[in-house]
Amino acid sequence: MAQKPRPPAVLARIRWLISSRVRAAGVAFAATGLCPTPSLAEIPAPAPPAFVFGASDCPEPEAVERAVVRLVPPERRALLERGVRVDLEDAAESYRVTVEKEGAVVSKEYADPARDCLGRANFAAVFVVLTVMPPELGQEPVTTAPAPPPPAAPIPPPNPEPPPAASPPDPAAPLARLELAALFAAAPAILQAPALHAFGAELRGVLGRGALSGTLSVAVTTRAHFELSGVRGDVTLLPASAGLRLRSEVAGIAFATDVGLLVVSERVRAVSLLVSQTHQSLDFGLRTGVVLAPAAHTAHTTLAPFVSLFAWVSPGPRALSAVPRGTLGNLPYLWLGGAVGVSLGL
Amino acid sequence: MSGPRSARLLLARLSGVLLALASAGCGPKLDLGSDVLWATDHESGTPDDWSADGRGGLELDAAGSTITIADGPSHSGRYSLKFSDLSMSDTVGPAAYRELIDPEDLYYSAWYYVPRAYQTNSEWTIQKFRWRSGADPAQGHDLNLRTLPGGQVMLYVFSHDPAYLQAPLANPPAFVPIGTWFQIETFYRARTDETGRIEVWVDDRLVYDLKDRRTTGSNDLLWSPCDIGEDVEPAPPELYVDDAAISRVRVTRAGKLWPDR
Repeated sequence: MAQKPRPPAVLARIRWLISSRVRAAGVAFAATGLCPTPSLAEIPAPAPPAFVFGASDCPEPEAVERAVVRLVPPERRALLERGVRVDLEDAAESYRVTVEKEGAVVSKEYADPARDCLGRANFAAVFVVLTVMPPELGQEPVTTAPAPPPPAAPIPPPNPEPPPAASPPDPAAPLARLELAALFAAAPAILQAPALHAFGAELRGVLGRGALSGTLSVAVTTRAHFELSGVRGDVTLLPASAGLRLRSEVAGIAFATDVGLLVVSERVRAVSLLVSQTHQSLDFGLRTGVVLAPAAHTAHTTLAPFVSLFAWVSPGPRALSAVPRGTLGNLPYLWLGGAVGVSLGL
Repeated sequence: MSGPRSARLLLARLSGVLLALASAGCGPKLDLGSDVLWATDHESGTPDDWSADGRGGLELDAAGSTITIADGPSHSGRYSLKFSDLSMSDTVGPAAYRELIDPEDLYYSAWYYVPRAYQTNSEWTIQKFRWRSGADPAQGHDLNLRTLPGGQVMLYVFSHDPAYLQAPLANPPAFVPIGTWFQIETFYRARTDETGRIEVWVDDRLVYDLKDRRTTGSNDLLWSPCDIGEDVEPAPPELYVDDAAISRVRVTRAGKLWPDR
């Protein structure tokens, strides 16, 4: 049989297909499947049972099997155990590869008068991988002359993979959400800071439908009463924050982690002094929080309930003083709280 | 760039910004107010604070006793109030006073400086609590100094009410230093019945706690740092007063009379 020249475009396409498969699986892959690398060989995954058979000497079934295993990411090798059988036929200047998967059979014959056994094994492996796990792009088969006979039956696609933890952006999901919540916040007594607690409300805007989105929020609290060195007073907070939200879904629950910069407008006054002064000041810090909501609700433009836990951190709170006592202490370093509310997709 | 790597970079940048903002947040203290009704440090260079609001002033006698603003020594700042007693009387002498009507329970604080050792052959009154309605100046409660044979100077409380007279001496004695500023702070619960109370601290040590006694004869009270001694040698006895205050809580030695300026 006359050898047909192998078009360079075909080889390039094979390399692209293989590398795209491996990249999609998240495996570092320095070379193509035609150039086996130690990194793939070192992947600690159990080898599937033998699935390549035939009396072929060139390529040998074992060589093809090894090449296939190298091309398949470890987490996908279980597919090879689901009714996959490969048969090889060595016809001297050509060879045939027949792939059977769950009753469907695809066969392809390649010309190779030079009898490059390693090349045959790699080509056969690529054919097997593309047949068993067709890539998302470039579904058409890799063809070389002579044209193979049509497959007896279409190869069914592999079993669907489990969904990843981080949901891909859903075009139907709302681009922005407004969250309105009632909150309770408490500040523990730390060092010179008094214990405080307050109720309030918070409004947050979330922009973005993917795993990462931006947030802007503003809240207001009721007066939180304190006593420091015998001086009673109260503080009202107006915290505002700008930050990021990292969203994921697990078991139908949407988890969101917020982190952002915090600016708090504080109105502080004493209520027990002979002469009291009211101060308005700004404090800066960090806001972080966790939000839980039903995933099905947050994916649509409907009202969705949510609960959240948050922390307001202020590393440099304002000191408080009074005459004649001098320094009384300082405003809290840390507020911890929870919120319950609803969000509306826009 | 991978997601986790982006998140780490973002957190690092946020931390930097946060630290910068936190530093900016460490601003001046927030002064919430004051529990001081009245105070003077004499830094105006005049004794006018004593007569502020028409509720106080200076009292001098016919013998030429003086009250002057002294350019040192001072407890704070530059000026203090200097008393020099020429009257040689046990009832009258130079005095500064503040008057309160229907006073609540208050603390009266003043810093004293006795420039040298004196021999007290009579009582030497340096602070008085009295009231205006009584015609007799020898009324109310006095804080007096007495020199001991060893040269030490001791503070004691004397009531002009025959029911009380001199209070038992403090144990250990309430010594005051010579040539060093010391603070006398008194809690005075002015009552016309026997529910009044007087507590006296010398340099933050409670030395007298006199309970269940009449402490005023009317609804007014005059607090009066003074320099009154009939026989104090060498004459005239002199002393300095500075940083005087009337407050709802103890000033203490460490207390401030004004917000940080």
